[in-house]
Amino acid sequence: MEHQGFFRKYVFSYDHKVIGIQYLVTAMVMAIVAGGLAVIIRTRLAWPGVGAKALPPEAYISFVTMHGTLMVFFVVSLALSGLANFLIPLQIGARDMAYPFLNMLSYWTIVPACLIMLASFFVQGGAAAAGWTAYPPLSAVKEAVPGSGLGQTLWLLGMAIFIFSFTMGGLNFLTTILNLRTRGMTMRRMPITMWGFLVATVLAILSFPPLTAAALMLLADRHLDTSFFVTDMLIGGKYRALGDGTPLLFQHLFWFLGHPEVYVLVLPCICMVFDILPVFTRRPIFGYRPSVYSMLVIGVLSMIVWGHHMFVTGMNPYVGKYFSIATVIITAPFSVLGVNLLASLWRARMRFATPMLFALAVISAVGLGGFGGLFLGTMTSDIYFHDTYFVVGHFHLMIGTVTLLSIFGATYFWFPKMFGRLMDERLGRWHFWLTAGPMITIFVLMHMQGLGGMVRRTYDPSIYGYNQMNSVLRLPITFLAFLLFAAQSIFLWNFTRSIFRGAKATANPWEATTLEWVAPSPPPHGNFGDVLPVVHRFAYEYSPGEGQADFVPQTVEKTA
Amino acid sequence: MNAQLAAPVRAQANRVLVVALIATVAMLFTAFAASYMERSGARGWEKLELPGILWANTVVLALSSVAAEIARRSRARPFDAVRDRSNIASLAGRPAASARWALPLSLLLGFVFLAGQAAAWAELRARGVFLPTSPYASFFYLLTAIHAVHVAAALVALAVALARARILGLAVGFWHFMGVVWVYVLLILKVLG
Amino acid sequence: MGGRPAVAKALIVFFAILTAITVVGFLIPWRREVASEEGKGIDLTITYLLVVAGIFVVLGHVILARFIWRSSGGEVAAYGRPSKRAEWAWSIVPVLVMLVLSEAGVLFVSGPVWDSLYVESPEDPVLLEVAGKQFEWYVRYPGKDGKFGKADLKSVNETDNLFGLDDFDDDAQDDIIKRGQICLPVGRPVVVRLRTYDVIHSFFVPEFRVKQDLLPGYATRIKFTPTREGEFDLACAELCGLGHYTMKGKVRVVKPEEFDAWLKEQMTFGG
Repeated sequence: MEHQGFFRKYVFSYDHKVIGIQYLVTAMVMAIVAGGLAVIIRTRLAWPGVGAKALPPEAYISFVTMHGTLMVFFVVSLALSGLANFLIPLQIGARDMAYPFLNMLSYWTIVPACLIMLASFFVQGGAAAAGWTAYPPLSAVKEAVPGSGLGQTLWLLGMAIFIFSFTMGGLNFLTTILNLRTRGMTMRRMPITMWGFLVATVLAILSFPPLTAAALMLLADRHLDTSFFVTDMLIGGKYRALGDGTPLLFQHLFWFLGHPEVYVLVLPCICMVFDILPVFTRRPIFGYRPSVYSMLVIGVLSMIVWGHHMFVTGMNPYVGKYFSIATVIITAPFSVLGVNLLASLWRARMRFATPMLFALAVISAVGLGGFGGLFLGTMTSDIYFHDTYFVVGHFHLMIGTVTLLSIFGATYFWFPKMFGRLMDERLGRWHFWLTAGPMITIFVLMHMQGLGGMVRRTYDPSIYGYNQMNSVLRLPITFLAFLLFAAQSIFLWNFTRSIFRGAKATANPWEATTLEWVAPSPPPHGNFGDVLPVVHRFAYEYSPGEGQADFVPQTVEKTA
Repeated sequence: MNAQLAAPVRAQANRVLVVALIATVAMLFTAFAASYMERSGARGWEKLELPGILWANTVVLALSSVAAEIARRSRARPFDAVRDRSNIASLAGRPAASARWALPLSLLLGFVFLAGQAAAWAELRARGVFLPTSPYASFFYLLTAIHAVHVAAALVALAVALARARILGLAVGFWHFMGVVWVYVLLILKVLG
Repeated sequence: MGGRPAVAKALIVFFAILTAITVVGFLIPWRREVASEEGKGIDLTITYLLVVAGIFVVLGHVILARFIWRSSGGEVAAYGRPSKRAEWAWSIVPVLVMLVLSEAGVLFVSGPVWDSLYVESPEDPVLLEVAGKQFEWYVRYPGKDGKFGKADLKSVNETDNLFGLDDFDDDAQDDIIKRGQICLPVGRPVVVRLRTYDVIHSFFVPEFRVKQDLLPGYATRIKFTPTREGEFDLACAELCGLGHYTMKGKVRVVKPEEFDAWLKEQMTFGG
């Protein structure tokens, strides 16, 4: 192997594994910021009477907005980009991504996007404050809210760069999975995680452009006096002739991305859990093919149901009905994934390592979150739940809990492959109990606040009489949130320490079958030595038959 | 590591890349088209007379596409028997004579197109039509500008292809797509609303 | 069985607690007592979904716990792949079950309420207009003529012309204008025309269970039929700026006679 300088090796590296870890670490840093914001938000909600000076409404709304934006796009999306980068070439038996330079570029365009987002807290008026959905005219008119000054411009800029980078990354994932599979690695032999990333990538590539279009039009409305979304208005006591825009158009464009984005995040996560389960049940996963087909169906459906975010906007009632009918169809393929996750535990012999614990908790969260979605996809119950904490609880369960628990599980699982050492099991268990418990409970309780009618993004919910009853939940939720946030220090400590001090890992510490475990831990540049592995069998050959080994790696030739 | 990819794999990956790129750009313009349709049904919608030079620009872009195609084929000619026409990495024979002039000509016409678009904007400015003048004007400037940005990017790709023939097929494919998008944009602006 | 690891038992307890919190939590009546006809329909949908979701959430967790219990006893995992037939059967069954249950919820439980809210036009409704602005609600009744006077944003005046009405407009003379206060008769359908002066707001009365966005440049509409007297909070449900959380209005539902008397007492725009 040619000698490389420090910068080429660790900073501007072309190596997918280094880039993957760079993404993961970036996501962790952003998670500390975004999680910190959540703690501040929860503190405010628990004690609404105090601290109005320290945290005025403008800061509160900014923090709510940025917590959402950072978590969705700069934590979960980045962490998944990291795992995709790390896993795709290894699991399909390739030496690297199809376009390593492009890959490096997509990471290094994300960094300025992160910096812009963080910098926006410190500009005049503070960070964007129109919600992570950035609905105009609130996000379009400076006078509407302080954050809609420079902060919103930086937000749009940061998002545009993010989309550009994410698209580049996606093009790489797609071409790599489709073209760089090693000999024998047919599509049907791929670990299901590869299918998850494939579907997610196609969805992202197709659904992000409309958001780009919306962002460009919003920027034009803000700075070039156009009126795509803004209308004449009376604001701050002054009449402003802004034109005859259609604010609803932005929502259509936003949710055309927004809904598929949910599956962009959730499908790879569920698939990683599918990949973790068999290793610790010593059984093949249940329903590989039905699950793959379900994901394809979910992918198609997810692009034609965005209107269920807009039932109360006054859309044509027949269109609303269509969106509801189409939306709840998704429960069908989604329930296939849920049932198959459960059935994968059937007749198993479980090994309760940390990744497995997280995987089991994900199954529970998928169930709770999935059924919550039914309430929001059904048009009339959504009228009541729209913009309440029911929605907040629901999407935090799906794109917060399911994703983060999966990402944690995946990190514990693939850590030995990343660094050649194992993470500490005892700390891992503590981290699991203190993460999964509070996380799921917090968001289940939020559903109940929503049931009581509590509206989201309110600085002081106690103003409304109807919040009296559900406000008993405010303190428990806040304390659990503190616990959850504090518990992540265990993870950070475990992660950092294990890189240097963890127990040395063999190439295949979990006795798994897929290709990444054939490569050394950590794999060298180029992953597989001189000869690429050849695949001879399905990805999940555990307990294949009486008198045979407990597991058979994909590279083992079939004997007649 | 990059170099280790076998030429057919690389070519196939390039093809997937260009298709995916086209898909994502197509979705961008679809979003604009949908927005245009939505907006055209609302109040204050009035169309404008399009600058005549746009039709000349269309012809220029079409000719540029033809030249690019000639360049692609001429380079691939000695290689006809092989399925992968865009891959000339292991090209044995000499390229046809047209290979030398066709690609630069295509590039030149591409720049002429951009200049023509600029002339169209100048004409509208002279008429007193600016970006915020009317919703139609906003869409006109937005659609043509976004298209122009993509054309500029495609021109960079074509220019790179002058030096690195490996990506010629990729660049030409995307260049054709830019022509298709232009017709699409023109149709939207002329026919819809 | 002694060989079962403690973590397996802990997991089972964990999922049991989680399920208990969920089930008990959702059985608590968090919702305010319903106060509209449509709200009853929406409540029916919520109840239907709570039952469906509840059954599956509990069932799923029971199965999850059972699998953990069974497979942590130290036996060797069963050999062989699951059969293709079992895989497809276990996929088709949930597909059919969920399709039937969820579409039934949309079409048969939810559908009639949706139609009554948005499709059908009610007979002899009480008409009023509610305008949202940062961070207040303005309310207008059309008066005896049943017609709203022409409103113009440009003539809005915070002190004496909240709706920007024209002094010389005949329709405007008998319009009744209130600030943040809505009075409604019980038992009659109400149709509210919703407009906003600035950004998007959302009209939400939890007791009525209904919610409707106010969109700049458009007039949206909401319909409901109050079924009990009382005073309810009107909340803004869509983030609309710094004072979003203070954008509270009052809805008072009274007997029809009381409502008529109240209407007569009010000053009209023309004086």
